[in-house]
Amino acid sequence: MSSRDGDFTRREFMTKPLTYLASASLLGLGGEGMLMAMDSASAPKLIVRPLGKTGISLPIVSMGVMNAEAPGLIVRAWEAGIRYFDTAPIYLGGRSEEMIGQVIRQLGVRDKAVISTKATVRGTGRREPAETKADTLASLDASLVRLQMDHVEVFLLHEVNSTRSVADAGIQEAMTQLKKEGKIRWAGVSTHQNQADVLNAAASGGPWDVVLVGFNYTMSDNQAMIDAMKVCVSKGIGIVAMKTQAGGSNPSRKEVLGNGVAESVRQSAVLKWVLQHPFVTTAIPGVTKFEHIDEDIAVASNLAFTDDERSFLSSNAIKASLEFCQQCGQCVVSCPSRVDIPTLMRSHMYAFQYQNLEHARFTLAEVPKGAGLDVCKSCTTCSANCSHTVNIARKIEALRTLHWV
Amino acid sequence: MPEVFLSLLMITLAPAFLHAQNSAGEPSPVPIPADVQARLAGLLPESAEAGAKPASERQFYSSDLYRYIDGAADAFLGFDLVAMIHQEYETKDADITLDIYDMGKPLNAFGIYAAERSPSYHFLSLGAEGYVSDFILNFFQGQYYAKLSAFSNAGKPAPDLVPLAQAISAKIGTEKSMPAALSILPKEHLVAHSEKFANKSPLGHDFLSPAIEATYLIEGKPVVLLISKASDAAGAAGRVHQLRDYFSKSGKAGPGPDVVPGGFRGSNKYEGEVVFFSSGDYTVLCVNPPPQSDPFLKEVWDHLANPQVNSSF
Repeated sequence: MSSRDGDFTRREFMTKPLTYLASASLLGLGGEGMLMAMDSASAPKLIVRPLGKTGISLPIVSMGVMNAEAPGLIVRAWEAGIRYFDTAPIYLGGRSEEMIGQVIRQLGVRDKAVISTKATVRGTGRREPAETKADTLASLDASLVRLQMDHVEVFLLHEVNSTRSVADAGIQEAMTQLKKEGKIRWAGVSTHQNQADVLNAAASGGPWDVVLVGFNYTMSDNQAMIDAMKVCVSKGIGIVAMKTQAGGSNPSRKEVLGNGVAESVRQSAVLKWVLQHPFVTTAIPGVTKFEHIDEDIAVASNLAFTDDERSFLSSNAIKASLEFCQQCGQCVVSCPSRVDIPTLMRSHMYAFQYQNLEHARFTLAEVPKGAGLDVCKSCTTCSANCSHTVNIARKIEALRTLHWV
Repeated sequence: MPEVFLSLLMITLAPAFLHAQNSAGEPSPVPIPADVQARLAGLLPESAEAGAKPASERQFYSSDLYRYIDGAADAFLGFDLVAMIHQEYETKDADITLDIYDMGKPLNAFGIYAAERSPSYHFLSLGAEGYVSDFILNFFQGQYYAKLSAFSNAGKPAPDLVPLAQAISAKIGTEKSMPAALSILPKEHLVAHSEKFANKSPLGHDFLSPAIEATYLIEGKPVVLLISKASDAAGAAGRVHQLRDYFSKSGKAGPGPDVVPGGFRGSNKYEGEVVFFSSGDYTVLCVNPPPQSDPFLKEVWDHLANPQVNSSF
């Protein structure tokens, strides 16, 4: 097998990992550092962080290629110093993988790029392991054809929402086999729901090296999620964050997140919030236009909030829209019935924000007798006194539906 | 035992319960208008083969679509999604999921449909256009984009989704034409099923919005043609000047071929080689034209000059 167009062959990839890493200019630093974007001496230095136990470090901002239709966007991202590109077979009907493959080949940078793609495997944990294994292997082979590559660096099981998917024997066998064959370097899962449980399952064992998780400022009070990410890091699993803008590019969300604030301020503020968590290696904000790349690179070189960003994140309008219960307990003091409001708010969060009804029910069961929904008089005193502008009364009314069920 | 029953009941009723959060004003800042809800619910088909699962219907508005399809919501919002409805069905051997997206107008429905299709799919005569691939069937018709997916029980073949899709199509109506705006594309050399509608940031540039684009095979090489619609001829000419400035700064720009009067050539490392010009309300970019592409450019020029070409985006 011979090298072509600057590509590393699979054999070289397997036998020369140190060469690979060094040539990528992403050699593991063992901690946070700075990386000069290689194609421009005047480009800003990007903050880099190690990706778990993989041995490489990445700029803290990467590129989600899901909706990037224009090849020029990938060229610009590469030029700016972005090295990790996240795609999937289902993005743009497969054209996303084809486009990345073409651009990386044309740039002649296959040995320096970190390519991540995914496999959507149905019925994990329910079908025969041989079936899920076959689907996983077939999905990667099809991706490699579209990418025109003989390997990818990161291969993720897509949309994992339950621990049984993480534990699926067929999936794990496939990932292990693909590593041995040199078709993938690192295996992982991407998750959108029940994320804490999924992360903890991945950390408990298996072939997992990387997790792609939704993480944004709306989760600041989700301690279970934050703890699970820390557990992953302690086990050497790298954290890649998605959904970092929390729907902030959604026009209707902009109304919630503050009209009158420049889009660039909104976008950079919420992205910095994510990246100020050192356990996050890199984030993959979506890119659909050239300005997005410039904004992302500005964040990747300086995580300090500007006055506008700090003002945006601390504004009452934002706090009101987020309605984060800070678990301070002040509401309990003002409640005439001494209801255990903080626990009720956690239960509400699991039920409504994370749609984990089982966890919500267990949390509700933690409420001491005589301090639950049955003693709440719906007087709304709690909402009036909440210093974080959480509409507690409304959330409790919503919880009553759950309790009634 | 009551605990087990409670758990099962909660799981069974979860979708309905979570939908109720909208009426409680929880996550959705704007409720779905009743007429939109009714219109979408009226599109759900009855099927002899596939029974609707109880309490599986859910509706999402633009403001909370991301709660259902996560990051993919951005693409739908980019085409001005109005609302969508989700319904699950089951047959003896498979589960079927149906999502119908109301995109407000046919061009937007085409836009999101085309963004998710690949020319390599197996296309069907269904709605305005549709395709099947593995366990999915997608089609668009009028202002609606319908997506069906199936999951078969172990060892069972994929169910035929076409009858269910045809039932939806019948409920949408009899009008099944492609959006009129696509007529601005010349037909000769056009790669079938390569047309796209870029509502936002064509080629990564806001100022080119909106645009229709397609791939052509010229001298055996793929060439992307993008036609951007301005509000008037002055606006289209202004976009040409913006492009000239952009290429001058990022690469180089110079006079274009004679067949497109007033046009320019440009090149940089992002778009490659391009020819761009304006014609009436349109700004045209031809990306990576081969050396002998003048006849094609002339064909485009003449096509846009034809008053029969529809100009409504």
